[in-house]
Amino acid sequence: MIRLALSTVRSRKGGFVGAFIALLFATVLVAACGILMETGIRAGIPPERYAGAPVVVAGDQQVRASGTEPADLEAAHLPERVHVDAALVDRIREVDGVRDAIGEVTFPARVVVAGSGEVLGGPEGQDSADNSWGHAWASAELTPFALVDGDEPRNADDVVLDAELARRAGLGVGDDVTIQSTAAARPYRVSGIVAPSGGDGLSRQSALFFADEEAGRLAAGTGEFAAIGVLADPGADLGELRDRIIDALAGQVARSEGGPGLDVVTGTDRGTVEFLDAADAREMLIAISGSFGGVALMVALFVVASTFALLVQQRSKEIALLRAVAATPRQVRRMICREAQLVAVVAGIVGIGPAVGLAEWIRGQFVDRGILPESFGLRVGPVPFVVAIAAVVGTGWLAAWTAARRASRIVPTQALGESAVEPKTIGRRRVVAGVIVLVGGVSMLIVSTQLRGEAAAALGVSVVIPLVTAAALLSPLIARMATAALGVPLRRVSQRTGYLAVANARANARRMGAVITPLVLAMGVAGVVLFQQATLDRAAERQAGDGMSADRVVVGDAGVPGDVADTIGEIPGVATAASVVQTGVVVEYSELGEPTIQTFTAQGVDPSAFGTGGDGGPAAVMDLDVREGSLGDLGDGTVAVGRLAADTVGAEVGERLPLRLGDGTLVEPVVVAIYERGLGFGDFTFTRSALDGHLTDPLDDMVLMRFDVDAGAEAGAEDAGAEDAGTGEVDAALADLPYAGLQVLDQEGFDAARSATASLDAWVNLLIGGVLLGYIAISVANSLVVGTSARARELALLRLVGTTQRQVLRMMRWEGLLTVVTAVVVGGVIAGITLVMMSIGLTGRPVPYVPPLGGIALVAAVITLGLAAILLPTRYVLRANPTDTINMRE
Amino acid sequence: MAVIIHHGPTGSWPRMPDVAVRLDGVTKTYGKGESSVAALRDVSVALYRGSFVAVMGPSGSGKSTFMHCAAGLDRPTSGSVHLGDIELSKLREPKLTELRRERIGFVFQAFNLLPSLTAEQNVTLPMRMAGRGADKAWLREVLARVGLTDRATHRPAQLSGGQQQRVAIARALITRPDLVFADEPTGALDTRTGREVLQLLRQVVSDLGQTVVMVTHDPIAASYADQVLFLADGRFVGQLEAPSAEQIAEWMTHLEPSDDGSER
Repeated sequence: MIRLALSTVRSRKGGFVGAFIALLFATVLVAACGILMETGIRAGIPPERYAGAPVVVAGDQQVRASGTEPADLEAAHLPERVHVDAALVDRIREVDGVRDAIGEVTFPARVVVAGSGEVLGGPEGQDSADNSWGHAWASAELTPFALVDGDEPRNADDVVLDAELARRAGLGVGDDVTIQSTAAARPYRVSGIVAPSGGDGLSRQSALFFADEEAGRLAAGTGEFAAIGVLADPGADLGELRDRIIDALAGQVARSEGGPGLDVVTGTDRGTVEFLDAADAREMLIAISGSFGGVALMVALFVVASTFALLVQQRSKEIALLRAVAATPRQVRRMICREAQLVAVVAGIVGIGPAVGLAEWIRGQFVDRGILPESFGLRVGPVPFVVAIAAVVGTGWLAAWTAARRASRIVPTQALGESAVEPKTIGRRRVVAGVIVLVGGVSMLIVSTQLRGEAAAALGVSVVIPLVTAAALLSPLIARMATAALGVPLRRVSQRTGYLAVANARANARRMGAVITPLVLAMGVAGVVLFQQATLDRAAERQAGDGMSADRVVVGDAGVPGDVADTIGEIPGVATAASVVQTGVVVEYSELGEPTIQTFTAQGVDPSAFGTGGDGGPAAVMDLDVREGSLGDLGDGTVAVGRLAADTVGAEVGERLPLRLGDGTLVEPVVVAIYERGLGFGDFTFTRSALDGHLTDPLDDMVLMRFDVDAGAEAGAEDAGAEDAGTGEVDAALADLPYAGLQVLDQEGFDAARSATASLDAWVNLLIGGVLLGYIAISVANSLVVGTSARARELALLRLVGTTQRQVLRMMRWEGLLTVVTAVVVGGVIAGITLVMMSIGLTGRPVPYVPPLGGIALVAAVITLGLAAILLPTRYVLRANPTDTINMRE
Repeated sequence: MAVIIHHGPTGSWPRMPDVAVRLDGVTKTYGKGESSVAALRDVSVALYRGSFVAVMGPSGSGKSTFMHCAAGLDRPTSGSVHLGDIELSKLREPKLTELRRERIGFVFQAFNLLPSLTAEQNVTLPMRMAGRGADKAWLREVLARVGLTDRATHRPAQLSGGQQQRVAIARALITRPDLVFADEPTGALDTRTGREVLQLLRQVVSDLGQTVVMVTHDPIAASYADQVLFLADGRFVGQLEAPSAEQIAEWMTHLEPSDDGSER
């Protein structure tokens, strides 16, 4: 059997090229996703700050739903650093083999350039612009940083800089320097310069060291550490040391009631602890590669199945002969499956190289956009390839199996007759299966409206697949209906070639259906991938735009120090200056009966933002559109919840809602209000002060400011220009604030800045979606080319009976148009329904947003792709002499 | 007598070990209700082993349907078909396939061979599908008999039409079947090549004692047979023993094409 399969593949190269291409690209895509996923799971960034501490004790950043295993992937990633109790340092010091344990505080600290007032970020590099951090001198040893000049910081106004930063700032020992940290910028004196071994500074961050007490003050000390670095006795075995530390900290390493537990890490894992953004990047890689890899496989299944179906149709005579003289239906099925496996194995092996290239390219794109850190290298192990090849071989087998089922039903008498007319009827089973899949797909869609946020977004593309499958199964019916609907006008418009095209479409509903299917897939998947994010962005943008009523927004390069809001509030002519910080919370709830844990967006807002008593009066800068309860009650121990999130987690006004703040602290605030604009501002709203001590970076994200309208009006009574003068004075005062690196934006400037960050998410989706769509386009073109080439004899016959070459082309154009228009309509309906349902889940409103240009471009692209893939091979086929073609052996 | 055409009530056959295939009251209708077409009407016939029988008739007379039913390629609407002792109409498709590849050989008008296999591989295809090794000596003899010993490794595209038909005959013989069916085996060949193929079939019957049933509309082709059966309108209407081509042509002119039958 394998020899028969082998020789068939060898001699029917043309036909198998289509299947091979489909499988090859599937391998490339799936393996590339696999590499990205493995990278997400295993890759790390080498530690920098903690390079000198072989073991690091830090907070566990993962929270799992109760009752799930630690190995379970169903875990949420805490958005803020989990701090470590300072008292643990002493306990760790006592562990056998520990030379010392040093607690580390980290806080933003930046050198202000004298004169320009600019602040210096981290060292030159892709992902270090924000990374300039202050630490206590005691923890310099964790890198280790050693003094190369001057002295350690002893006094509160001493600072030590790393050599790279000192050079950039043009500073030396004894110089005065202004440093912007968590409070107003203040002067220091450079007491020393340090460098890590083998360099001037670290590659991803700049380091500033303060006297221990000053560091504690700047870190707004809560007596907790970001991490504890452990220095080992010489010759100690790190694995054993780690175990002993875990034992010593027993009870706290596992998840405890009050908060997440501790993580004791060695090796590269220390980099993950050091760089929280690396963990985010890893999580993103895993999520993206998982969902797109799955979709790629499903698409491959589709495309390969349709290619094999065409192949089987082309070979029906050969199969009939086999059936007549020798092979049982089972043997025919087996032969076709073997052929598929053969092609799939070769495609899988050939695909390895390009897969690495694709993964590397995607990584490069991410790095260029700052989504992945530069030092985040790919991990290329054998697993993704084994998985991809196995998946592709399995997919090929499954696809061939469906085609083979039809092949084995070919009756042997077909070998004798000439008849190539397809059976009139569509199998009842096929229709029943189509309806079942359709019902299943629709119910999946309905269920998906119950999902929120990431879960709903991740579902998007995979919901399209059952609908497309249903369309594929029912495609002959669709083709027939489309021909009935479009055939009449078409025959009127074009009486000769249009008539032929309609006759062809009518007689070959099944064949037309097979051509419609991949185009429907392209249209459906593309529509959802492209416009799902647009819908979400548009809704968020609307809400933020409608709800924001600040006259000025103050933002900072590295955040806004906490007392900026107070300082602004004291400027005459300012009615409101409310600080806002954006973070996340983790909530455990039950979703479709399963315990689920998810991160939601959250904000901490000074209650003055909502006007006096939360009344949304003229002083308010933020209108969350409260539906229930009142923001006037927002205070300590309370929370306001966005309506979508409230529906998801089951929050109700007046009840307590257990949740974890960004750093994992378990709280149980009372829900005081439910508001509409959760997408624009955040799903959960706390008072700003409720989040103190629960943030990695204690700075505010922005201060929302509103002019005092009454004061302006009074002034206006005397002079019409006074209001402008009043705001002008405020603006001048804002520009003179004693903080470095602040920017004052008006509403327009703020909107622009906001959409720039939002579009990053959209971009990630577009990139991967684009790769996926490229794959689909190749596959669609591929199956259309195979399908059209198979009609060479039919077209030659038309030529021989007196149809001109031009007429044949025109006929094919009409037929192609009929096919493509039908596909665009069906695919558009599928994408539309999916988008509406997802829009309900994501935004609470059933109106998806399709940018008009984007929509037109998509339709145009699908039509062009479809027509080109039909007409180009037609031209090629017509070039041959029709008498040769018609006598061509099958 | 090598052929018995039986018009009486069915079920009254004596047990005859030397009958290769036997049809009892076989009727085959296509379609349902008003639009149904009867391709065979209550046909009963028995073909003896070791005979070369030609089945003739105008288009639409039911010759192809007769062959499909007799060879287990199609199932009769009513009536029974026996290949030796085995009742074909009761068998399910996988069993039928096995039976076909073990006990029946086929030679079609055209497209007899799988283009991806060599001549020899095509010949041994039934054995391979049955999971058996080919009998090497027999393979050599069969190839020699059809005169293709030196072409065994050629692919169909490299062979002439006549050579391809000879490969098909070799394949039909390789399992030493009870019966070889040939459906217009010379239809796609020129006269001279066609004659060679017919001579080969004749030899197969005479030298090897093989049973061959040939469906044809060509009187010259039919003249190579021991007997010629005439079908018209789904019924056997007559037979000739060792006829000449002229006799056959004479007979054919008397057979009116049926009105309701289309070529099946």
